Amino acid sequence: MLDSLVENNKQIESEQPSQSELHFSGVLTRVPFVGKASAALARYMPLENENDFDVFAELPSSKSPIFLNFAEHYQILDRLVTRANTIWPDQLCILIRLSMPGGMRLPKTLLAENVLLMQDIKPEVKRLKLQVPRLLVIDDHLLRYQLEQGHNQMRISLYQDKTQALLSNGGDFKQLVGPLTEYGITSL
Amino acid sequence: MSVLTVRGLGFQPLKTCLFDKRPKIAASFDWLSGLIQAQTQQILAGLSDAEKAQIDRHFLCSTMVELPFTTGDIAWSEVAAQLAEKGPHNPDTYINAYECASWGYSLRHYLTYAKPEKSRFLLVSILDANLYDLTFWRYNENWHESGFGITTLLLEVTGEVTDELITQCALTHNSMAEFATVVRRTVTDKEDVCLALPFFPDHIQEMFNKLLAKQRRLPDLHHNWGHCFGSDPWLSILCHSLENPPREEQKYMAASLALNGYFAMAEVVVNQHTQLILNEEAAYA
Repeated sequence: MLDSLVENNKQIESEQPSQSELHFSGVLTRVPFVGKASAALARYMPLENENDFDVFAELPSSKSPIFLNFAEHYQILDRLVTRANTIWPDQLCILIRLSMPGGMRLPKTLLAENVLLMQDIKPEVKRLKLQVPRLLVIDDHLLRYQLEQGHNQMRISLYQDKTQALLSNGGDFKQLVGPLTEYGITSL
Repeated sequence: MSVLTVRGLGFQPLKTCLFDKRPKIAASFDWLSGLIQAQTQQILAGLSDAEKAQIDRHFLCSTMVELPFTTGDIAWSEVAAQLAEKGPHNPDTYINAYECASWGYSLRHYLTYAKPEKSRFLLVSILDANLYDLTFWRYNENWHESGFGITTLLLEVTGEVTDELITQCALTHNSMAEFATVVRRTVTDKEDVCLALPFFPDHIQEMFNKLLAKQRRLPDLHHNWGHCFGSDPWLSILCHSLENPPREEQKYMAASLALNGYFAMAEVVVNQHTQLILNEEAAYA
């Protein structure tokens, strides 16, 4: 089962033959914490005048279901980052697609020095993947409230030194992404 | 001797109501990209070609420009492409998760991961603009009037940054008082460092007046500018330096606090060579 989670394990041949990359692509298919009450944490901006209502009436809306709230989303990210820091205690840089609105205060793991939160991870992946020994990228579009766009997809990538990759043979990456099934995030 | 020197600092004020008739969001960002490009060129005008070649990167930070991206009205990749088309040295990374403290967390990331041989110059822009003219962003109970604009900051890193940069998150839910306490602790025994703090309405300023009574602070400019999000400390330093041109090195502790309790502080130097630019207020034509 876990083998099917790891979509791709290929060596980068061109610029840096010493690096390998692993990817997981999944989608959230249900509420992540089954049987647990989920607070209605999303807050809507107060709308006061005609313009406010016009703007919100025109904004795009997603048809994808909303399965989690901000706290649950941060909980999943917190557990992922904590597990990653345990598996790779040294030289791990983590990029996460995460932006305003925050909804609530972020857990401290996500504010740590080896983590950067940004709107679009691609420019930073391009910059760092051949520069740092191990780069973990969490790029998700898990919807927390109605105005967000996406399809509840989550992509996790690991770029690392090939020597390290050979030592684990993908086992550590499977150890990281395997438990995502517990939250209803299934492999695409 | 601080290791972070402000080589250039500019602020482009933006009108609270930017449009007579609101354009498509792509047109709004194209206009803003032009302003960022123009401000970046202004800031870099004092650098030699050799120094320009040492500019490693440019972050774009914000607090309140999120709705266009959240709703899919536009993607960051489209904005980045607009910026890239307009010329070199424009931002390619967009960070707003840390709200008003985003500039500090960007700086921290840069200092942690930049290649040592390329880590001399860093550009950070801070953009806050009321692109949908929403009432909440004009005024709300948290900070009263908002102010909008684009700050661009050119920092030169001249040594290893240790305690000159602080990025933290409040542990309590009284983040304002906690922030003031950390600021006070940080500048203890740094009598030559002047504080540049965020702009807040009178009742919040009163907390700083009490908790930071003995510390040197630049005046709170909320009455002039409103709360300009992450730009506040930089606008504070800019206004003060324009009114009192530095004849020698002036040390400041620029500090920002986010609504969710994240804060950033950077000890920086402004000197007689710092490029200082305050532009006329702009609106979309």
